[in-house]
Amino acid sequence: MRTIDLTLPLYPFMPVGNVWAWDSPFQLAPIMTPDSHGVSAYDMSFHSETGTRLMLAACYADDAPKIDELDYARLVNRPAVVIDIPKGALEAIMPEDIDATLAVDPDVRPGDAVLVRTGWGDGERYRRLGDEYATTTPHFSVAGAERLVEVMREKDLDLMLTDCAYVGGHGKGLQYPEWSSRRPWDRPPFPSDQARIYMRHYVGSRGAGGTGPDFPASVPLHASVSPVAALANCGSVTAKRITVTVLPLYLAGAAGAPCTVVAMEE
Amino acid sequence: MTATSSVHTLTLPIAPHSPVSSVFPWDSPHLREDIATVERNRAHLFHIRMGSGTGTRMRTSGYGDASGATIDSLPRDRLVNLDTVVLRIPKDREESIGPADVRTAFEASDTAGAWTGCAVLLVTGWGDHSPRELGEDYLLATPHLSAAGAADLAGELRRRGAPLFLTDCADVDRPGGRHARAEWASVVPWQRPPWPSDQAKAYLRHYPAEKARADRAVSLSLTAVVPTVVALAGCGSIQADRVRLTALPLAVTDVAEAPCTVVAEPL
Repeated sequence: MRTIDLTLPLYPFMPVGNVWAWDSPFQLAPIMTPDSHGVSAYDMSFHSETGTRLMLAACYADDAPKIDELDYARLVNRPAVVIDIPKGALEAIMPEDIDATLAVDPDVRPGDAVLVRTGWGDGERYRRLGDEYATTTPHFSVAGAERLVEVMREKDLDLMLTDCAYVGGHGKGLQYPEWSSRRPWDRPPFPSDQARIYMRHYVGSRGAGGTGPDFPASVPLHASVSPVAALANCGSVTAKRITVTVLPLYLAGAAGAPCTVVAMEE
Repeated sequence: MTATSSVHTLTLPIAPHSPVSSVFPWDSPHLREDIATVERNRAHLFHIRMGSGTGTRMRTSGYGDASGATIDSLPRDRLVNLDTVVLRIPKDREESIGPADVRTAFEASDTAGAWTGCAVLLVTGWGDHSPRELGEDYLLATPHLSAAGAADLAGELRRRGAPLFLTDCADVDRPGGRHARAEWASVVPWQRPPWPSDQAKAYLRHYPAEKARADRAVSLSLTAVVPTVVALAGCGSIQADRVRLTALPLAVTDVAEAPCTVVAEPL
């Protein structure tokens, strides 16, 4: 059995969690180090959608189950099938991509998790591209997301993992033109005053949020398939059928959390 | 864990100001702040701040040795689906685990035959208490290992080639040891705000490596031998003497301590 880490490494200002107005970038500051105190301790800050993360229906519905209310049998040693849908920068996963792959794949079995592999998370692209890794990621079109959910329901599948950095879009309605397209020093991230003010204006009545033009494919995916996004290194998986374990940071009452993902293959 | 699940979550839920990482000057308490809410922004996203020693946490040899292993350097096959021996050493508040406890527990684990290569989960029962009810005592009064008990444990772990050691003690040392416990934790909480307060920074400027290492002598002796996970919770749900266990830390690069999520399944 070979164990493969599919988790995006968390390092200061890594791109996934560093570009949108609601991002609070991953930061790490030493409190004690082996040099200063003979032992080490760190202060960390980040946000609920930093790096590889498990996202839940609770992101859009306050009464849905939270991280510490899940049945972890759904996340541990879960049989999974790898579905290849190669995509490049800004490309969308469309319904026909699902129809040509998952819908007709003979290796899919009821109860599987589905790993949608685009190739985006391979070769440490995140280090080469920096913030563009996040803003130009492949993602799901709304119709593509809806078709994925439909096929997964038909086949009794309820957990989807992908190496897309963001599943729902790339903020083209509001956040990209108004925030992420600006130079980094013109958009200091949360908890800056600028980010707080932007978020006060990024409201539903302007079409903000998952049901608006920015990340519209997120809603059907969160509601139905608990997406695990921003996987890395999926190209190292050689088998069609694998086992995956997804363990989120165990935040009480949280609507989602960064997670660590491993795949096991024979 | 749900009532019907075959997977036991053995992880302390991380809640704002939970006691494991909010007492000492090096503790950065877990804090959250909403960035977006469903009501205003149609999505719930939040800012997180926490120390590397928050809740259930993993430490590697780099914890006390700059050239030692970091969390991200650990081979994942030594963290996943580990055949794990459960040692039961019931202990209550402030009690220490000594050489006799360690010897008796290992002897009991060999009843069905001597074993090697398994991870070791030491269950005291402390992790079945509620941090919310005990408050800071959940950390400060935790059972812990004596120096002699730790030396014997480290020797057994090395001899048997254990890939991982885990326990439901909130810490393996008596938290704060001899120095920080007297100098810091003996004061009322509102006079010792943790990191990043000015008081905490001033204390750490006067807390030399000799004191810091002495206060963590047990942690240093164990992490030098094997990656160590402390502050597991809910281990009372495990009845078997062997389980299959997975411990995955938050994927932070270049650190030797990180919060960790732990689950166990029947073998």
